[in-house]
Amino acid sequence: MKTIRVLLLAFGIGALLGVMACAPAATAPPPATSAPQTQPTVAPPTAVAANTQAPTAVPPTSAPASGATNTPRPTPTPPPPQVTAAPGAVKIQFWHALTGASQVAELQKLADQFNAANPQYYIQPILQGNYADTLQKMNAAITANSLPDMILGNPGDLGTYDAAGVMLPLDDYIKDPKDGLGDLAAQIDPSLFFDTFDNRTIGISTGRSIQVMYYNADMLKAAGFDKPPATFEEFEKVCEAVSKPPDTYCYAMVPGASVFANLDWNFGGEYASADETKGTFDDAGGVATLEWIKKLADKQWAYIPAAAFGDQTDFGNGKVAFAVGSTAGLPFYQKAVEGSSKPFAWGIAPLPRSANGKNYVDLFGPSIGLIQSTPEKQKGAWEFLKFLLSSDVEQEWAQVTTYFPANRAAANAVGAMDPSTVTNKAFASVIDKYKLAVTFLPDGKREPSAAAWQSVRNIVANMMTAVFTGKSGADFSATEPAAAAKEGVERVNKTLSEFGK
Amino acid sequence: MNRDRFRKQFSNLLIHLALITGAVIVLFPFVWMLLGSVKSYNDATTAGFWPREWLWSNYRDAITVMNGSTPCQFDAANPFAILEQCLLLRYFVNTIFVGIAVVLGVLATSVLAGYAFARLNFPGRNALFAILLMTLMIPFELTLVPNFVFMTWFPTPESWLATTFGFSQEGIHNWINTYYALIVPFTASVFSIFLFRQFFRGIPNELFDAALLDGATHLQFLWSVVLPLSKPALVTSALLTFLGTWNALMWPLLVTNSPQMRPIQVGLTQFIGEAGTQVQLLMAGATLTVLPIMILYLILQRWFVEGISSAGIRG
Repeated sequence: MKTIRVLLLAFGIGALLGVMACAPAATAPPPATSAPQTQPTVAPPTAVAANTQAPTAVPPTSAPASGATNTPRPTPTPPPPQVTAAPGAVKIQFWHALTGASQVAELQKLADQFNAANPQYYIQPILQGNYADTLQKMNAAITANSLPDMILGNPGDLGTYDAAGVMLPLDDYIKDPKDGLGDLAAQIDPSLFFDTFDNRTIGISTGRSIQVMYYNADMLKAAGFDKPPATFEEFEKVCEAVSKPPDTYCYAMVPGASVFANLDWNFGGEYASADETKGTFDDAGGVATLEWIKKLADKQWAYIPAAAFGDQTDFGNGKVAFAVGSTAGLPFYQKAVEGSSKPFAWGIAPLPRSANGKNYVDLFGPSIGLIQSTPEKQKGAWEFLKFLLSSDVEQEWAQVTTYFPANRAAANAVGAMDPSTVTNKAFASVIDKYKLAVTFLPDGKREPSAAAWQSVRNIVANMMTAVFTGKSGADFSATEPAAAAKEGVERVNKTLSEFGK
Repeated sequence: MNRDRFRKQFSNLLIHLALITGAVIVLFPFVWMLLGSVKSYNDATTAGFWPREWLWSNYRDAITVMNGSTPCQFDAANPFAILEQCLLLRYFVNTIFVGIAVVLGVLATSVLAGYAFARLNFPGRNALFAILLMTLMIPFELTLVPNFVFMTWFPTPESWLATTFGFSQEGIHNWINTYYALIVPFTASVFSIFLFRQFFRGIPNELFDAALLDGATHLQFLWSVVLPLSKPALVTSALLTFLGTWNALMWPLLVTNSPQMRPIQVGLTQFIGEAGTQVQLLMAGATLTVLPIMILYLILQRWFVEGISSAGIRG
């Protein structure tokens, strides 16, 4: 028995070492699928060959002799350059919540580029987990006064940090005649990409994504619909035709504040007051949204997926005609459909609207803010932020994240890219849909970004769930649309009024 | 007679059926994880049990992802460089190092504390033990921020010494992003103190009396008599502590800033993006992280079961 255990241990360790040591090149591409609108991916979206290459914009040898050193990795193959801090360089910690491996690699690559060109600074991007983890860590760091110098987070989270008094207002930096945004200012729409609290700009986004409706074009076509529904009435007609529960459903609904806000706008309502101090979704638009959700439930046209990203996987498996999600999910939907046993043609469209309404698209995405620190660190952080907003960098970043660049020149350049020349294979496979999504941007609208609104998202999700399921609970009691909207607004306003006290 | 035999066999059958059902229920997530680790993305996200094709390359891809999209590569000319280049290996090394250090710390503190609570009479012993047990009720999340603040207060010994004696101009560093923050806060475990206290209470007093007659002190009695008899409890405490350290995610994320300091669970978060999850790679990564613990448990399970059951019976 003892011998067996020892052998088992030896085998396990040997297998582990063997798996770790024997790591040849990236996997070969799977064969092309029969779906006309899809293209084969070379590798999983996270394994992007371009990320391991040296940055061509700033060759390592261009760094001054007394500046940052480029330390080659001690590997047999040509290594990507890693820039180490020059003596006396100002070290700047940049905390972020971009958990995708390709995003982490790209951000490090961009930091290396910047550090090589600016040896007086040394940017250190540090992943702190997802947005919730980063928020928790920042709250602990604020308490301990052990803060980073730059932070990437949801606008609402930046507002939370601002309420704690640690954020650096960027207005003076933006307008500075020597080191301000300069020509970049004309390229960036402040209403979409700046985060302003109390008339102070405390965050700038390098790119946003939008909420779209993913649709199964083949399923719609089989039911007699050549294009996606633009109105709620058209949507219901599609639902009536395609729903065959429990095999197929029309819509996989994930209750959430962003979905509700978008539907509310498209029904002609307003989610929040102009000064973002109150919820106003108990108006006609909000009640109509909940009535529509109830109808989807009563007719068994929709369901709530149990697992995280369950709507995405069910969509990929052809079980549902519509799913709602961010355009940042384009590569994931592409992969889900490609791997399906029956790949199908799919597309994206704005969420439906009422007959006289507009097809608004919810615009969201993280922003970067600077933390109050020494003048040197603040300056270095600002220079790095400007670097990230430059056109070339924005174009690269858009391909890795599928975010829409804040820099208009970059957005135009990405929009004009030929798929055959795009080096990022995951992006190349969805570029046609990305370009289509760009056309939705003029109808982009943002949810309230004040810090307090992060804390009420659960209330809105609970409201949707209560109406959809018809079940009351401790979190939410009303199940009829009008009463639920009223209760939702009361709960939201109460939470907003108590926030920070 | 035949009826009795039939009844006995029937009851045995029922017991075995119940146990088999329980075993299947417990094992099913592991089997699902193993099968999911060799499936394609589509297979991993559908309800199909068996993979349509067995993609062992998922393990290689998972390692590449956990290493920041770079394959791990060994350079014979510089063998230790792989610890810097291969983040996955670094995660494992960190986790094993921190795990062993925490286990040694827990065993040292818990054995001494457990012995004191079991065999020494001092004022307030029972009250102190009750207060200690009450701290088990405090959620870990509640102590996260205060503990983090503590980590920023304490200087690392080497930076304090170097700065005080003028060897370094870098200043005094706190414990954030050091092994101190990963190890020291966990070197005392109330559960292990309780476990050892219960176990030591089961040691016959006659043994202590005999040792006393021979002139042994408490420490000598503990070292020479008690500890050799406490292998089950020691193994149980060590295994549970190591398991806790292996599975830690929130605290290491909180107190570390660089990938070189992070443990294996952090590596798994690479598969979960804001817009989707690489389920099959996540399963492969999870299998890699679970494998060492499973092997360890298979080797130590006899002592582990004995330790848990002994502590319970003699309570």
